Amino acid sequence: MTTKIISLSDAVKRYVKDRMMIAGGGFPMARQITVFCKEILRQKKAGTIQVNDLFWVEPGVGFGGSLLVAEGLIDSIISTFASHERSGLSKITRDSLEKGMPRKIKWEDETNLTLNMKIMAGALNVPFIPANSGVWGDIRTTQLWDGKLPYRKNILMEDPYGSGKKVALLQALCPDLTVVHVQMADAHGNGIILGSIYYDYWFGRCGRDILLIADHIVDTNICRRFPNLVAIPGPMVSGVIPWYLGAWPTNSPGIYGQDLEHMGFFIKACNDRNNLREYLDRYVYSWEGYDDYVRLIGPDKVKILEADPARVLADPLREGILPDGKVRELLAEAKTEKTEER
Amino acid sequence: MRGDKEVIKKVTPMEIATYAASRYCTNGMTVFVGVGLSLLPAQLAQKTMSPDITIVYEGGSIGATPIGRVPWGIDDTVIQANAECETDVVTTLGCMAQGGRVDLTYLGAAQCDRYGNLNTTVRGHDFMRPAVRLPGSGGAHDLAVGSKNFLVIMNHRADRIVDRVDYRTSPGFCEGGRSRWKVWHMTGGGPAAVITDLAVLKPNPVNFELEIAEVHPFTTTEEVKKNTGYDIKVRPDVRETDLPGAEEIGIIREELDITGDFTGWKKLFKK
Repeated sequence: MTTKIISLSDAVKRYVKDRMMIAGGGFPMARQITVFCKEILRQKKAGTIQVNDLFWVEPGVGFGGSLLVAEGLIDSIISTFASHERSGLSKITRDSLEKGMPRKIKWEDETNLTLNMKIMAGALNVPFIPANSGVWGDIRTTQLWDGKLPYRKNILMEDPYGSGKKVALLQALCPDLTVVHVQMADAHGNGIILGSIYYDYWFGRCGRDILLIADHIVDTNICRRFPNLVAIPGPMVSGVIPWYLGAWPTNSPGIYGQDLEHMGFFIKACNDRNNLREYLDRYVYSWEGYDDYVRLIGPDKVKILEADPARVLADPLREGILPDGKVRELLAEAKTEKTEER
Repeated sequence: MRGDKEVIKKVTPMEIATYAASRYCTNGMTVFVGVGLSLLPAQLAQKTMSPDITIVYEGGSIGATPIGRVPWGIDDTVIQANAECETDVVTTLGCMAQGGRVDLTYLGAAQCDRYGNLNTTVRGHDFMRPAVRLPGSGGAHDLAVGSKNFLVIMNHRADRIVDRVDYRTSPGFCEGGRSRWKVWHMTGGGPAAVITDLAVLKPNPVNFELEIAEVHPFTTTEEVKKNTGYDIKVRPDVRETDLPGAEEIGIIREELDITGDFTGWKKLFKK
């Protein structure tokens, strides 16, 4: 079987196109696709991709999404939550919505269940799905529907089977690209998620292309031994990006915890445009390649993040983790295969 | 102890609210916990009178019993280190809450109207140009629809407990009366109480408008009325809120809110 391993830069170059609807997995402080967002910004700056108006779908616009908003790459967002939880409300998102800085984004509010069910409908390939949520209140009405965007809401229906119950008909949502950060994946695209799954069970089944970012690449034998831990089945997945600490500064239970110190630093930097510029220059644009990325986080910090209470979750699986050398081989293999394809 | 001046000086309004909210948890309940201040009461109950509750976090942790430190949010790794089950949002909010398997939910809010409808989305009347953007619904709407009962914990100001909320995020008793069930067919029971830093508000059993049921010991019904944005009624049997005892205070300060971010207890010791 051909490997689905692909490098971060190749994945962004190949899959990210302007005006795309991109969905990112995780939760405000957990398993966010932060390194993927950074790579979009880096390649946009380098001129390898042309993106200006992304359509972003994320459960909570946390760290990664905020960076894209800060650089004005997002046109519209569907989300349920605009906060970094304990670390505070997202200043970047607030500036964009309240003051139109650096640009005004169109924001659609959903609830955690309605957004997830829309994705579920998209995964099942049905046009809509009935729900108890979204029947009452202002979440019913859409802000995105402008005659051009096919985003509809506010259709209620009484049970056609005669119970008399009123439900909301949620329109299905199927992103062009879905990216989910998982703790472990094998070369076939089987994604293992430890800890809370959040939206990612359905995110991992919905999207024209689905990419995984994995902290560790594991031997397929691990999937065979613990097949019930594979939350995302390989055949759904187009590519697997190996990137340890790819969710930093958010957490990846079993592998590393959240970096609250860095989140605090980031939130503080957001309060001032100059500080934010400095932050982006340093943490988004300054590094080159994986080793540089880890150096920026700092080896001492990495040790602290790894000593997390949830680390035990991954213990039974650790023996199947492929060593760095093997992962580099797989990446090199993928590179030659892709060149041959062309 | 009730009304004791010395004790009152040593307790913050939010500690009283946390204690009052924790008493709605009883053994055997499945309790859903939200972000911010609503993290505290269920944990306080679990550590005091109701150790046998199952705490659910919307991300997917069920039966979470954090050890070592207190979770700072619903997706902290400490919640996931020692949970009974890890699943996804459709299971917790959909199958559990809306399937009628959640007994009690704690929610926070920026605004609450006379029927207990909540706003956590925007302040100001223009959604496209909000005066203040708030986090949004998260799972609050889904829980308010389906949970058997929910409690709201929030600050009590005239622009927060209001006649109409700026944005209707999560349903309380909708338009009052039996509209929640008759018109909107919701499965859950709505807000059991709104617990603030000044008072405990409970719904009238007929029109479901929130009334003053308890007043915290350091304030008066007049003060509460002044800080409410609509003409709030006072229950004839209005009473003083019970104060937390030394045990509860100790747990709040030494185990749950060590930094004092939530309850502000450290201010008591500042000169």
